[in-house]
Amino acid sequence: MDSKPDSNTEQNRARRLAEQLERLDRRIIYGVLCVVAVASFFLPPFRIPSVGTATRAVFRMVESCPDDKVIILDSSWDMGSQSENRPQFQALVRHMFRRDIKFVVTTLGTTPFAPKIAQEQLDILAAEYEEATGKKKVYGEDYVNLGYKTAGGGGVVGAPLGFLLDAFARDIHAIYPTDINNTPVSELPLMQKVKNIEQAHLVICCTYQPSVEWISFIRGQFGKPVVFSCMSIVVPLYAIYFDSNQLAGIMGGTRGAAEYETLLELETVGEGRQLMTPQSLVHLLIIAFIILGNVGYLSSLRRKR
Amino acid sequence: MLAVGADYGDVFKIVEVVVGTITFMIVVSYVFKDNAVYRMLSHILLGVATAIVIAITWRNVLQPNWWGPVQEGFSNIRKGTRDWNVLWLLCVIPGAMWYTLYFKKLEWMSRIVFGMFIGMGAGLAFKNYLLLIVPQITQSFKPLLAVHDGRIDPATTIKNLLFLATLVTVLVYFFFTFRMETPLFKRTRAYGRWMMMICFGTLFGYTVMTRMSYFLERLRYVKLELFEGVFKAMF
Repeated sequence: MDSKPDSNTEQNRARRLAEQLERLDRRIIYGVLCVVAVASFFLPPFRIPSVGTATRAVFRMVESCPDDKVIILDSSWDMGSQSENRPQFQALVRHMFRRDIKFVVTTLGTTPFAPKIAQEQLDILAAEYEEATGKKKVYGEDYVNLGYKTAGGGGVVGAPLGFLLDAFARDIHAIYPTDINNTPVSELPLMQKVKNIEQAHLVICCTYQPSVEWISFIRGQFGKPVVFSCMSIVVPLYAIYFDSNQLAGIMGGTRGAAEYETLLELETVGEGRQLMTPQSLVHLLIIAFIILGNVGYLSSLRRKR
Repeated sequence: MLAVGADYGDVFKIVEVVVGTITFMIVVSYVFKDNAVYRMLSHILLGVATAIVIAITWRNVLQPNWWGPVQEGFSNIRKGTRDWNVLWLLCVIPGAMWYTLYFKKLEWMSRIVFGMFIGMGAGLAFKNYLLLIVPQITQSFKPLLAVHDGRIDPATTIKNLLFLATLVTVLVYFFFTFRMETPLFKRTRAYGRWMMMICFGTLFGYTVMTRMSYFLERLRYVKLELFEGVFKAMF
């Protein structure tokens, strides 16, 4: 006799909860998300449980660079994509510094702000390397920053980038007569050895969304391995090229950077791993909200029936 | 990583970090409610970005590649030396032809440069797609029974079978030439649709990841630059 009103009350409570879940104000969701994100910065960084094949392939490609070759690192990222591209750039440069790999930084046809940002990072990382090892990395001998070269004028990318890449691969000195500091490239010891793409072991494009012209021209026409270091959002677009071996590797987003840092076995926690802790917690929260929202929706469906 | 040599006691650095933090908070305020400060900020940002792009395009592109050689050419001619660099000035003519689009009587002139650019773009796009797509097609031919070191590789075999099934069913889904209403085709299309839905879900997941990265990187900036940089130097 008594159990019926009890079950009715429980049903009403469940119904009210389901209605509340369905009508949950988005500001509450954003508020909780902000609180979790802020709080997660005070937690110790998580360990990266496994490293993906695509990131491992990038690491192997850099690792296998012979002494007589250089790596061309196209750094075409700026403030807009620094959240993911900066940790990637740092991880790549740290690796090349550590392995004494000489590299050439370019910015071909995307953003004019990129060379300055890249130079800032190179200065920081060179100082960090010197502090850690006591060895100095010399600009012009160990690495150079050639600066910005637009494709087609006024930053038009797309078809004209093909022309630029074609010309760049044939004669780097013709495309870049001077470096970022307006020093003639012929005066830079490293660039005296690097005349065209033949002297490169690998080409890395570090930007928001690398252009597919890198694959078709540098890989397809000149046969040089290309890897993309890009934002997470575009990783599924390039996965097909990695699957078909047109791309030698992909470092995707913060996760890719954190994986690379794990492979590097850094003494300190890199920016990628630092950002992956809040990223993981926020993702868990989003998943929880999706489940809650669906519970509310399904129970409302049941009520309507 | 704090910037090496950054002086957090410096007034300009303090202003930079405080403005950066306030700007970030204004931008985030939009997710709670649209407001006048946010709109004002977006207009300022647009104005600043446009001005910077114009300045940089002149300084990094037009000045060194065009105006600089022209100036040098004129200077050499004044000194009595022949210099063909002055001919770069003629680039103004095709450049100006783009803008004849805005005058009805002269509109035909813009079509000449349009045509040139479209022809150039089409030629290059053809080469680009050939170099990009042909390897995709050849790599689609995967062994249905993958053998590695004389032994069957089950993981690769399953992967290849899944790849083939997805390729065929998605192609069938986009086959509109004639109606195919048999149960077999219906099921094939349904499988193709499911595969695409999984792909879109993956894309959406990655999108969330990128959007969250933007937000978290800025939070990290506030923590490092404001709290561990400026505040530590001040107090």
